[in-house]
Amino acid sequence: MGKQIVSFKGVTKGFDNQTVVDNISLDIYGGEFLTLLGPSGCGKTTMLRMIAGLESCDEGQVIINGVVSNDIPAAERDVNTVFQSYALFPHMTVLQNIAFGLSLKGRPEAEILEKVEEALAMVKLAGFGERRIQRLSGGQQQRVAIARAIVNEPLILLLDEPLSALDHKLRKEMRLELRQLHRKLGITFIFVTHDQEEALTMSDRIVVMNNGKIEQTGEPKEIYEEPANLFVADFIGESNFFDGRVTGTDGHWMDILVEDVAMTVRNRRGFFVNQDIRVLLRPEDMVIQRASDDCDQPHLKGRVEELIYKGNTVDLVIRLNSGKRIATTEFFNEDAEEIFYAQNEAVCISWIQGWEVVLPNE
Amino acid sequence: MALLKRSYLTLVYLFLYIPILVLIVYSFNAAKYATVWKGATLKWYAKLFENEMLMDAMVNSITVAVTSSIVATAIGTLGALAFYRYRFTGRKPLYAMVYTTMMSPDIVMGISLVCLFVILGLKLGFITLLLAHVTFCLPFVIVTVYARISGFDPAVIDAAKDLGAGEFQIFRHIILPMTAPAVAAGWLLSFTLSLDDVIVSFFVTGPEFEILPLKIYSMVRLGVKPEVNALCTLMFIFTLLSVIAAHYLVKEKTK
Repeated sequence: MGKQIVSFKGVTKGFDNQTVVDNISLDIYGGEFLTLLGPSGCGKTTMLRMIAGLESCDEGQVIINGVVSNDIPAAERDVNTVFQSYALFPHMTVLQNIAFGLSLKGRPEAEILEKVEEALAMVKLAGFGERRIQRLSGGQQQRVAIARAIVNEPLILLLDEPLSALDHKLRKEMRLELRQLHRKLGITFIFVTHDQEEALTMSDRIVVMNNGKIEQTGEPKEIYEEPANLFVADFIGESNFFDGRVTGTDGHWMDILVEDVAMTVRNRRGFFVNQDIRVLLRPEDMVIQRASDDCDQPHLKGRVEELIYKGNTVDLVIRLNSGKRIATTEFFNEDAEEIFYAQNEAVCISWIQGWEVVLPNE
Repeated sequence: MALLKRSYLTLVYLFLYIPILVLIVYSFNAAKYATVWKGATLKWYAKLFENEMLMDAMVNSITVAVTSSIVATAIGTLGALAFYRYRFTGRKPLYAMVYTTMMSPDIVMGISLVCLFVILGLKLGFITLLLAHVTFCLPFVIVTVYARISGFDPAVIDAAKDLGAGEFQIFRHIILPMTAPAVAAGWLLSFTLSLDDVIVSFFVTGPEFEILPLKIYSMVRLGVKPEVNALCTLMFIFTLLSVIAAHYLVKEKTK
């Protein structure tokens, strides 16, 4: 990882007496693909706009490439943005759109044309230079917006939910292309999205935000497998939550009571006896057995309420005897036994010991 | 049902256009009085162009219309831009006040302007007429231009900034070309409004600066002369062309 290219130091920003970014400090490193992830209104876009220079901060410092940039106007920053609405200039051709930044800088025409061609090739739109913007599809407009930004060879490329207007298939393609583009250009990408799948598949690092604060920063695997708190656990991926209580601790292990069943789980956070906890389990971590087979491990009991066939997986909705509903996912593989269940079939639910995430119940 | 719909529309359009058609037909009538038809002729058009007083008034009218519409367009476009770019307290009531002047009766505007000019000690003539025409054209320009720019994606301006454009470059390369059709439409609207205004002009012009609508008005008081029919026909055709042009300007290049 390179040196810090953007640093937020105690940055606060509000609109109309409402704090949108609340005393955030964050380092972003040169060359990484960083995603700001969070629900709408969490402050992620405001963070991006502060890097772009389109928004100023009320308190703190935004440092770009070692320079305190609070008062540097957007036009003078070595940063370019791909906007959510693409924001292409409707009265210009594709070529004029892409050349806009370079021609403002007064570069010679031959150089501009060469670079525009290069950028067009990079986004797989070679030969589209003379087209009018209105004649392009949404996906093509998206590519022009990317080309218009990268042609300026910025230090940092900012992407503000650029895939949200595309259809599902195109979105998946673009994810891959953006990753490839990132690798090719070697510059820092800062990507804003509310789509956790996008964040997980594309990023080197994810910053999960909520209510103007950072909830967790980490690699996708870390965020998914070891969420720092209930918000992150709930926001990223699907989760089943069980309320429980610690009944005994023993080094790295502890005994807990979940749904009136005694279980043994890992103690990673120094939980103490009688502490209220929440156990988080991903649907794919659940182990389902037929009650008619003898369930050996400690388990919860329930009945299959719904079976959803998804091609490569079978998802179950199970109603526990306590009335709680949980979701499970089972994958097809050669040695798996039959993973189809009859409706209302009684099942035992457990999980592979150590795969659970235990969080204090605040 | 379809028949009913069609005949209803036909009635509406007959109602709107029969008076104008009558005027146009009679402008070719060889008879001196409008009551009888004595065959087609172009002599009233020829006579019209020989009438120096009318021609002078026409030149005056066009001078006022061209200058006032240009001034109104320049001020109005910048005004609309201010409403679009800046958020300030009282922005909405101020914009509503633009509509108020647009809707206020001409007679009110005419009298208030003449009062003002008298207080200021301005001599009634070209200058006062110009000021008055700029005043009543201004809101139309603001509304036309603002209607178009308020539909723009504001991110376009952010994008221009992001790519290195300063305020002037944003205006020159982004806002101006994008609003150009509306600016042109606003100008055409001002031009036609100025050209055919009677009431406000009646109050604010002086005896030595005669303009076409007032000249026609005074001529008609002694009975409708056939050359007035010819003149009105020409003005109608001109207006029609302007409206068509304005329509295409606004329509074209929109997304």
